[in-house]
Amino acid sequence: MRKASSEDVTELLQAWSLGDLAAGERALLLVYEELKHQAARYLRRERHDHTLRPTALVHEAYLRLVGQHGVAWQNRSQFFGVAAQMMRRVLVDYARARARTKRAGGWYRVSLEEAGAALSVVPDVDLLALESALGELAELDPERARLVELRFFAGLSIEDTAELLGVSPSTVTRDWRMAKAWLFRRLKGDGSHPPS
Amino acid sequence: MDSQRWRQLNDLFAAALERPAAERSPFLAGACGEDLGLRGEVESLLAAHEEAGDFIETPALQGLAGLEASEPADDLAAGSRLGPYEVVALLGAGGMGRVYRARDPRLGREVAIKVLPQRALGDRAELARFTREARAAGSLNHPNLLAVYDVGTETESPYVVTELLEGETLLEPLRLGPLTVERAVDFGRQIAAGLAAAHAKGVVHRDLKPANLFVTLDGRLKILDFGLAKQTGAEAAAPASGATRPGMVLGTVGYMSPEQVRGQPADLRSDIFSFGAVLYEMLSGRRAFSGDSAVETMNAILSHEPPGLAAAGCAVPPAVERLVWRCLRKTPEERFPSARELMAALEASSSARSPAEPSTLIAPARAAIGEGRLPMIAVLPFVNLSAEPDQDYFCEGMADELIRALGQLHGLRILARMSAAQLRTQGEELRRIGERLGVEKVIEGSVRKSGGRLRISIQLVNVADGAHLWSGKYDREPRDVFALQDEIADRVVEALRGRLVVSAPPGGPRVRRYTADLEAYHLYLRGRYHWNKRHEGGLLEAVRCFEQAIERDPAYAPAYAGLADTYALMGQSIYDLLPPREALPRARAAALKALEIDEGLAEPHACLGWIKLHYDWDWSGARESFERSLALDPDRATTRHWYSFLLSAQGEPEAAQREAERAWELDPLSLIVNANLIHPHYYSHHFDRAIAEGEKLVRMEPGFAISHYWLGIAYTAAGRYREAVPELRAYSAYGAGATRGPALIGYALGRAGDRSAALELRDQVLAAAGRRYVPALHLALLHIGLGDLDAACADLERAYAERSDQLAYLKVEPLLDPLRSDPRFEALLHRLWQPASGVAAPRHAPHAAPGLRRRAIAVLPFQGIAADPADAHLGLGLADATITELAQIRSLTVRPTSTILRFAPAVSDPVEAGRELQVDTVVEGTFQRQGDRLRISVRLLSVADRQALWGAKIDTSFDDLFRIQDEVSHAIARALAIELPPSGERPREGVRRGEEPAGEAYELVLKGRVHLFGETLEEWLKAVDCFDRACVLEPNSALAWAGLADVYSRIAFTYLPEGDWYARAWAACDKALALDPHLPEALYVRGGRLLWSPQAGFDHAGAMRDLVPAIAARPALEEAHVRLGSILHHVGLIDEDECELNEALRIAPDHLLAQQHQGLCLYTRGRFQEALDLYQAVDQRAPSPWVRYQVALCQLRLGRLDDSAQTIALMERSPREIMTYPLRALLAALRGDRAAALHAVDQTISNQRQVGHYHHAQYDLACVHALLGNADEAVTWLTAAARNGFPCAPQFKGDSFLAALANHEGFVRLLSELEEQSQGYAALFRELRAAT
Repeated sequence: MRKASSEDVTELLQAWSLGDLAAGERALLLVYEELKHQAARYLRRERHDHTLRPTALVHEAYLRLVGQHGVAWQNRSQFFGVAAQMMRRVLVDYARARARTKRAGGWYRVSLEEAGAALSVVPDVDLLALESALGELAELDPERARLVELRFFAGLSIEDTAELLGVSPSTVTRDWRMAKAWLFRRLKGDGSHPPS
Repeated sequence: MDSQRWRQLNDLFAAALERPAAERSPFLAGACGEDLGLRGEVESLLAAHEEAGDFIETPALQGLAGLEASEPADDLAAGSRLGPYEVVALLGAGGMGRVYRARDPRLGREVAIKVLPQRALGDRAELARFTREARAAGSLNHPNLLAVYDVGTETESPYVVTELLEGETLLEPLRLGPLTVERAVDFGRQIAAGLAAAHAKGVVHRDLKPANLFVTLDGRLKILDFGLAKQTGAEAAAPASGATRPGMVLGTVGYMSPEQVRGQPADLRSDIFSFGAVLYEMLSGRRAFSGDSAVETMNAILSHEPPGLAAAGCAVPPAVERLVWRCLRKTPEERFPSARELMAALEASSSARSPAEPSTLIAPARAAIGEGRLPMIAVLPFVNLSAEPDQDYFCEGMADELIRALGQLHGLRILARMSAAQLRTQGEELRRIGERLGVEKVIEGSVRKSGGRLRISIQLVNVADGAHLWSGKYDREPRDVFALQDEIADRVVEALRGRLVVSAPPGGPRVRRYTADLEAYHLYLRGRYHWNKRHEGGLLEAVRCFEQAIERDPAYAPAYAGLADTYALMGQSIYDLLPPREALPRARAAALKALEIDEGLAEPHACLGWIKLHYDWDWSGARESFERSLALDPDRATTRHWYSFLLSAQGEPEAAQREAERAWELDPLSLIVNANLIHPHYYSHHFDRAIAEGEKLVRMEPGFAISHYWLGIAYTAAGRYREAVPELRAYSAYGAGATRGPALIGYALGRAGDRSAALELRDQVLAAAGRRYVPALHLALLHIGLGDLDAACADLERAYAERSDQLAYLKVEPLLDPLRSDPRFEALLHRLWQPASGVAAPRHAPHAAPGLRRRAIAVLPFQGIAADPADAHLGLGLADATITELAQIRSLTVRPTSTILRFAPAVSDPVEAGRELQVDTVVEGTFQRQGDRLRISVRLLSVADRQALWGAKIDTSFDDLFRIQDEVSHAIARALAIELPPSGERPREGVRRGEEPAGEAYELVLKGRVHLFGETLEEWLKAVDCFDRACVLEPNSALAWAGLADVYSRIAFTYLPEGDWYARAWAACDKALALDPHLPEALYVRGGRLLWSPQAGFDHAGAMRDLVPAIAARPALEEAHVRLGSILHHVGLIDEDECELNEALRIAPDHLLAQQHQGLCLYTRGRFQEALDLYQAVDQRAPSPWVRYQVALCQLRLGRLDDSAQTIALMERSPREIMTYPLRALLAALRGDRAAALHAVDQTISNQRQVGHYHHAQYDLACVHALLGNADEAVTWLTAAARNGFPCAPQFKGDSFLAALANHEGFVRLLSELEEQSQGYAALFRELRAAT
C-alpha cells in the first residue's frame, strides 16, 4: 500500500475545501487506504490494543495523515467527516466480502444454525441491510445519516460528535434516538414501509 | 415523505420521549388530531425506540472484532491474509475448524490451512498443548503422514499450515461399500506405516477415523491431523453432549478405543484399536461399532464384538481377519504392541489370499508379486531328540541350510534364522508363532541320532489351521549331511511349489559350498552357534570351533570370517576378554584372509568395518566397509546393527535407529539385535526410551547378559543408580563383563554417593588386573564415579593408548559426561575426531587463558506459570537475555540460544537437559506475568549432583528486564565463584545504548530473536514480523533494526538471493548502525554483507573491522566466528579460519555452517577424503546445493569422476543452480573431453550472476584451462577470482589442478602478490584483535 504522506493529505484537504473535487477524491482514497489498513490489523488482532474504541483508529489516522503538521483546527472536523464516511465504506466492504464467502459454500448454513446467528456481521446488526437503510435515511435526512456515520462507524461519543458538529450534546442525543429508532424499525421490516 | 412532515415526525418523537411513558399516548392523540397516519408513525417509532436497546450503540468495528473472536474461522475471504498466508479459497469445514486453500507468497507454494475454532481450545494450557503437539507432528516426516509446515498461534484462533493434498478422504470410497481386500490391506499397510513413524517419535493420533485418512489422487494414503486430535477426543468423550450430536460426531465416537470411551489415558495402542475399526470397515463396508446414539455406540465399543468378517460374507483371508481382531481387543495389552509389529503382520498376511480371489494365487510372474507381499515362511530349528546335547548346533545348522536353500527360490520370503531359533526355545504354540512372526507357513522338524544313524522328520504346517500340508521322514547315515540337506530342500520346495507360487531357478537350489570337509562345516556351524550366545564362554568356544575348522580346511573362507567376528567381539570392553591390541589385529588378519579366499563374502567386510570403527577410529573407512558388506548382502542383520553403532558414534541417532530397526526387521527375535535397538536411544541421551526398550528385553529373555548391560547403563546414565546395580550384576552374572560389570557398579554407587562401596569396587577391579586384562577405561569409569576427574582423564589417556573400543563413542557416551568440559577431554575428543591432525594445531586459543578451565553453562528456557501460550517466547527471550549477559563472562562457556530452543516451551528435567547440552551447570527459571509486572525465579543447578547452587526470586516490571539480566548474571557469577571482569571491560553499550526499546517493543525484539534462531524460513518470517513491529513501535531501537537486518540477510543468503531482501537487510543494518555505530548485533550483519554481497565489493578488511569488535563484545556470537572464519579463509589465513570455526563449534557443537566450513579448510589443505566425508555428513543433515557442489569437487579431486557426475546430476535437478556448469567443465577436462569442457566454460560465463560465490566458479574455470593446457587463460581467470574476492593464496599454491602453471610467469607473480596481500591481512587481523 502506498503510504500517504501527511503533507499530501493536508494539501488535498485544503484544495478540496477550496472546491477542488479531484483533490477531495484523492484525499478520500488516501484516508480510505489508511483506515482499511488499520481496521484490517485491528480485526486480525495484530494490534495489541484491540480493546480500544474505533474512534482511536480515526484519531490515529488523523494524526498520521494530517495532525503531524499542526494544520488548522477546522480541518479536523472535515477530516473526521471524511474518515467516518470512509470507515463506513471500509466496514461495509468488509461485510460484503464476508457475506460472499459465506454464501459460497453449502456448509455455511449448517454452521449458522449451530451458531444460531443470522447473516449478520455485528451481533444483531446486519451491516449490509443497515447500509441500504442508511442510504434511504440520507435521502430523507442527510444530517441524521451523517450522525450515524460518526457515531456508529467512526465510533465517536455523543460529546465528541457534538463538539465536531458544533451543536449541543442534547441535540445529538435527540437526533441519535430518532435515527436509531427509524433504522431499527426499517431493519426489523415491520414498519409501514416504504413510507407513502 | 416531504421534509416538513419529516420534521414534524422528529419533533413529535422527541417531545413524546421527554414525557413519561404513560403520558405519551394521550399527548400524541392531542398533538396529531385527525392525522392518524402521523400518529401511527410516531407510535411505531416509539415502539422501535423501546425495543432497539443497544442497537448500533456498539461501534461497527468493535462489533465486528467481537464477532471475529467468537466465530473466528468464519470469514476468511479469498485474498484475505492469515499470518503471512493469503487465503485462496475455502476447501471445507468440520467440527474442528475450516480448511482453506492458501498461498505462501514467500515461497510461492500452495498450502492448506486449517483454522481451529477458538472454542476448540478452551484454556491456555490446552492451547499450549495444541502448539506442542502440532509442532511434534510437524517434526514427523513420512510419506503417509500429512506434512505440517507451520503452526500459528499468534492469531485469536490457532491455525495449522500443511501440505496441500489432492484427492478425497477415505469416507468417499467407503460410501460405496467395502474395498477390495488388496486395496484395504494396502491402505492398512500405509496407515500402519504412518502410525509407526509417528509412534516412533512419541506422537499418538487419538482420533484415527476415515475422515482423518486421505487418499491422494495417486493412491497414497495420508493420515491427517496428527497431534490435533486430543481435543476432539475429549470433546466427543463427554457422553452427555455426545448423545445429542448429529451424525458427524457419531463418526468420531465409532472409532474410539474402549479406554478413550472410559476417559482413560490413550496411548499408541488406542491408535491400534482405531486402526482395527477402520480396517474392519474397509473390508466389510460397515462400521465395526455403531448404535442409534453416541451412548449406544460407546456401549458397543466397551462390550460388543463386531460380527465376524467371514461370517458376514466378506471374502477376507483368515490372517487378515485375525489381525483385525487382534487390533480390536478391548484390553490394550492384547493388541499389537506397536504399529511396527502391526505393519509386519499386515505385510505377511497380505500374502494370504482370499479364497474368492484365486486368480492372484497362480499368477506366476515374479514381477507381479509386489515387494513385501511375498508369502512368508519360517523354518524353525529342528528339535534335537538325541541324548547328546551337542547335537543342538547340528539341528540349528540343518535349519540354517534349509533356509539358505529355500532362499534361492523366487517368490518366497524366509524369516531369518535367529528369530526362529529364539522361538523354539520359548516353545510357543505353532499358531501363535506364526501370528507373531507374521508367517503363513512353517517348516518344523526333528533330528534323532541313534545307533550311528540319523532320523530326520520334517513337516510343512499351515499356520492358520495347523494343518500338516506335507511331511517327510529320512533315515540316513550321518556321513553325508550335505547330500541329505539338498534332498530335503528339494522335497520341501516340491511340496511348496504345489501350494504356493514359487519358481525354482533352473538346476534347483544352489548353495555355494565353501568346504568339502563335513567336519569343518560342522565346526563352523557350531562356532556360529556359540558366537551367537554373546557371552565369554560362547566366544571362547567359538574361537576353538573356527580354529579347528580352519585347521581341517585352511581354504574355508566362512570359518575365517567367523574367527574374525569372534576376535572382534573379544576385544570389546563389553566382553573385556582380550586387550584390543591383541584381539583386533587378529580379527583383521582373519577377515583379510577370508577376503583373500573370497572377496565376495559379505561378513568379513562388516567385520573390517567394526574394526575400523573401534580400533582404527577411521570413521569413513568403517562406513565404506559396512557399505561394501551391505552391497554384497543387504539382508544380513549383523551388518546392519553393527553399522548402526558407527552411526551412533558419529552422533547420528536417527540414522542409527533406522539401521538398528532394519536389523530388527531382518531378524526380529534375535536377542542381540533386539538389545541393539537400545543404543541409539542411549547414546542420544534418551534414557527413558533406552530404559523402556531394555526393560522389555529383559522381560523377554532374562538370561541374556547384554540386555542387562544396556539396561544397567541406561539406568546409570539416567541417575537411577539403585535400579542400575542389580542389572549390572546380572550382566556380569550371565557371563560377560567380568571387570566391566564391577566397574560400572562402582561408577553407579560412586555417583549415588556411596564412596566406600565404590572404593571397594575399584580395589576389586584393580586386583583383577593381575589375573586378567583390565581395560583402563573401566578405571576411568570408577574414577569418575569417585569424582576424581584428574585420575579419570589419565585413565582415558591410557585407554587411548590401549585403543579401547569405547573411545569410538567418546562424542556420545553419557557416562563420560562429567568429563566433557574438561580441556583434557576436549583435546582427546579432538584427537579422535580430527585424525591426521598436527597441521591444524590452533595457533592461538582466542578467548581461553591457557590452563584455565572454562565452565560450561546452559540457560534453559524460562517456564511460564499459568502463562499465555504466546509467552512461551517470553520464556525464551528471558533465557536469551540471560545468555547474552552471561556470555560476557569470559571464563564461562555459555551455550547459545540456538541450542536451547529444543527445550522450549517446557523442560521436563533440567539436569537431563544439562547433560544433553554437555554442561556442568544449568540455569533454569520460571516467570509469572501480571500485566506489566513480572515475578521471576531462577535457580542454578549442578548437573553432576543435581544440587541447587543458588536460587533467587526477583519481582520487577517488564520494562526493567536489564536489571533482571544484571542480577541473574551477577548472582550466577558469584555462585560459581567466578571473577567478573571489571565493569569497564564488559561492553554493555550495545544493549543499552540509544533509546531503549521499552516494554512491548523490547518483548518483540526478544521474540524476534527467538524466531531468528529457528533456522527455518517460516520462523524467520515470523522474526521479520516481530522486528518489523518493534521498529514501528520504537523506531529508535538499534537492536530492533539490527534484528531486522539479521533476519533479512539470512533469508537472502539462504533462500532468496535475488529478491530485494539484501537491499532491505542493508537498509535496516545502516539504520541500526546510524543509531548505534558499535552495536555488535549490527556489526556482524554488516561484516557478513561485505562477504556475501558482491555489490559490496568484497571488502575483506572492512568485514574484519566489523567482525572482530563484534566478537570482542559478544564472544558467544557463534555466527560471527563463522563469518570471520570465512573471511579469513578467503584471504588465505586458513589456520586462523580453523581457530574461529573451532571456537564456533565449542560454543555450539552442532553448528552446521561451522562444520561445513571446516570442510573447506580440509579441502584447501588437500585432505579431500576427510572433506568429502564431512560434506556428505552435512549433506545428510541439511542438503544444500552449495554442499553438493563441494561434494562434487572433492569427488573430482579424488578422481571419482563417476561419483562426481552423479552428484552433479543431482544438483542439476534444481534448474537454477549455476555452479553445475563449472563442475561440468572440470569433469569434462578431467575426462579429456576438451570440447565439452569448453562448452561448459561458455555456459558458466553466460550464466554468471552477481552472486557471492561466483569467484569460486572463476577459480574452477582457471583449473579447467590449466588442465587443458591454456596457461594464459588459466592465469587470467585466477586473477579474476582473486580480484573478485577470493585471494586465497594457499589454495592457489597447493592446487594440483594448477600444477601446469608452476613455472608460468604470470602465475608466479600473482601468487607472490597474493601471499603478500595475505600477510597484510594477517597483520591487520592481529592489529584489530590487539585493539579490542
